[in-house]
Amino acid sequence: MSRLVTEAITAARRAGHAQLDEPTAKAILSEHGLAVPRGVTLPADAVELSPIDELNPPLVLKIRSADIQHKSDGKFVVLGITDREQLDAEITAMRVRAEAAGAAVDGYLVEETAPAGVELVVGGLTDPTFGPVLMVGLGGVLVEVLGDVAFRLCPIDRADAEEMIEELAGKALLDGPRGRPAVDRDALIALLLAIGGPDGLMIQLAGQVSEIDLNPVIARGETAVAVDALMLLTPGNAT
Amino acid sequence: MSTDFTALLNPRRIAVIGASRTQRTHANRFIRRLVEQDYDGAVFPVHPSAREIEGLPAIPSLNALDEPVDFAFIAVPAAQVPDLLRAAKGKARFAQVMSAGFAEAAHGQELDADLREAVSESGIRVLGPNCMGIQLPRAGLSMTEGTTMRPGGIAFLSQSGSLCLDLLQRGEVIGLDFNAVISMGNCADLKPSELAAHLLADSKTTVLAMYLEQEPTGRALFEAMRANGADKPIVVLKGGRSQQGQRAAASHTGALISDDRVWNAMIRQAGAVQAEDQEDLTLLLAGLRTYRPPPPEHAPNERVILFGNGGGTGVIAADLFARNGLSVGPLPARLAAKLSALGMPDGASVANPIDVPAMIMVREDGAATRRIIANMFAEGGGAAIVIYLSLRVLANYDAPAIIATFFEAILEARAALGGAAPTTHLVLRSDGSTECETMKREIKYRADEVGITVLDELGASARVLGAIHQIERWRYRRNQDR
Repeated sequence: MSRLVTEAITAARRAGHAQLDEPTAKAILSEHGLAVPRGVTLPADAVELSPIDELNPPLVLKIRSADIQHKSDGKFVVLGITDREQLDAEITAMRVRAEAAGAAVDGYLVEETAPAGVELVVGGLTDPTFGPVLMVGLGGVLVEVLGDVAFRLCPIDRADAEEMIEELAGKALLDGPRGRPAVDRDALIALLLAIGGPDGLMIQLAGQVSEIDLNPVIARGETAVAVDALMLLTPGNAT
Repeated sequence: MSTDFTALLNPRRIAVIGASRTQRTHANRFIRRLVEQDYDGAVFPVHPSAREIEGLPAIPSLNALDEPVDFAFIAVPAAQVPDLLRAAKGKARFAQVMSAGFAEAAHGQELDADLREAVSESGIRVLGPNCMGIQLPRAGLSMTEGTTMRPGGIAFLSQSGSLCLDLLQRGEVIGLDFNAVISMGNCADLKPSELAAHLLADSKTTVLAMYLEQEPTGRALFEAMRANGADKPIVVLKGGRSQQGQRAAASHTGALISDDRVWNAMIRQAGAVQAEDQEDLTLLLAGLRTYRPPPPEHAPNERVILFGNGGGTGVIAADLFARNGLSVGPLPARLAAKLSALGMPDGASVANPIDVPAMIMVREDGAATRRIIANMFAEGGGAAIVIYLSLRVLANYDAPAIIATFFEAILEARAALGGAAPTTHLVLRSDGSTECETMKREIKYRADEVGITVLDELGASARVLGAIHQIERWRYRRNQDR
């Protein structure tokens, strides 16, 4: 585990958080070789917006709040922002919504928009009997409606990853039907191994992080971008 | 904890605790069966006052023994069991606790805790409690009367005693043969993972089946199953799949996971086959008991060649095989050419399925049928071969003789291929009449001896071949990725 990860986990625990905040989770993914959108974090007052000038619009604005886990449920994600003025207005509106919801604002995350593709979910969880478990599913944020998911125990090998993908009822979506972009199988297998393989995050972070949720992962060609990332800390572990 | 299970699976010295001088208890019956089955080790009935039980000299307690026994059969009231184990320290390697009234009972928690303590204090490894014990046809131990004692390769671990009895009793009728059947009860001490690892490593085991409801050492079980590399088929019947323990879910993954999904994943990942119910489990064991997977570098073969009588039956069969991931595609070119050259009369079809009406099948002492069979094996290219016969229709001709003729043709064709004969199923479709059932049974006894699987219906054949294909694909893929 790198210093970044150790320090982030220690800081989150000291602050009494049950999870790592999204920029931290994404920094860990990025350090581990996984693609995340380019982005900047802004403090809660968000008076200085010039850091976003380095990003290519349209942009996505997300809240950073330990009180909010599913950001899209309460309009705490806004898409399609093109300039500083619009961003400023959206930040103000989001702050009002957060106050109404009784959520403390830690700041904001502004990111580039991932190109459209097939929306997937990749998750990890610690089962009381079997230990770390990996999940892949289709449908992004609609995954719970579709229930098109496959599980395996960690660590998985390449053959396990191939079989997980084959188990998905909607796997034909990955082949690019009706002129849609196809998803490179090897890239998807590499992503599954990066989370659930022998050197994957579920094994490396075992005992510290009990659940990982990358949802959605937007996959297109050889890239698979984790657009949202949640990492839950192992309960009751104060180390 | 690593344990040598040799003493459990081939006990040479057995103590029996709970037998009566006058009554016919479980323990008395256990001793009688040992005697009837010519058990050739030492048996020590334990009784505080009797000098003789079931005609054998009794000892007052295990402490009267100089050497420990391999196996102690314990069937006394539950409350006496923990102290009995403590007192037997150093005098028994394994014990089966048949007694019920522990964790499974409403007020048994305290006694269960005491039992677990007694196990660790005594160092005796315990099967159960609340279990039916162990069936070892080779050693001569049995769970109850009227169950098969045919020694074979099936090993079965079960968290339900009644499933053991069902399988043994059904096995007696349909010709299953066993290495070991172990009723594990509450698994207070010995866990499925430990015994599964041992039974898979046992050269006498050809297939391992398990009925599991919960397995606290599930991870160890997975490791043992995966280490087997599908060298020996493993069949798992998981009970309690519809009980969805709701988990606290802060993530999408957490909302989607369930015990059933994790068990499904674990079974697939280990290269094992999941049975849907008891009937399916029995079928899979019948179909896999003599199966040996080819080396993992062999590409899995999904092709099936069908031959039989009954046009619609063949059409439906093709659907059943497709549903199980198999292909009833066109015949290999050389086989198709050879069959065409036979010049079969109108009404017979030499595509796949090869469909020949009974009237043509039986002509000239089955001459054409025998040629078809010889060619199917010689030119089948390794495809699985399924021969289906409607016994009722054939019974209108000289059925027992003609079926015996066909069977000889199959044996000859397989013998010509030496050890390379493909998986062969003989589906003998009966109308349930005594006449048909008798014909079927006679062929089945002979087929069992030579590794040809006799099945009742084509759906059963498709299920078994589908499971075999799944196992071979699992092995091949992992070999390719290595």
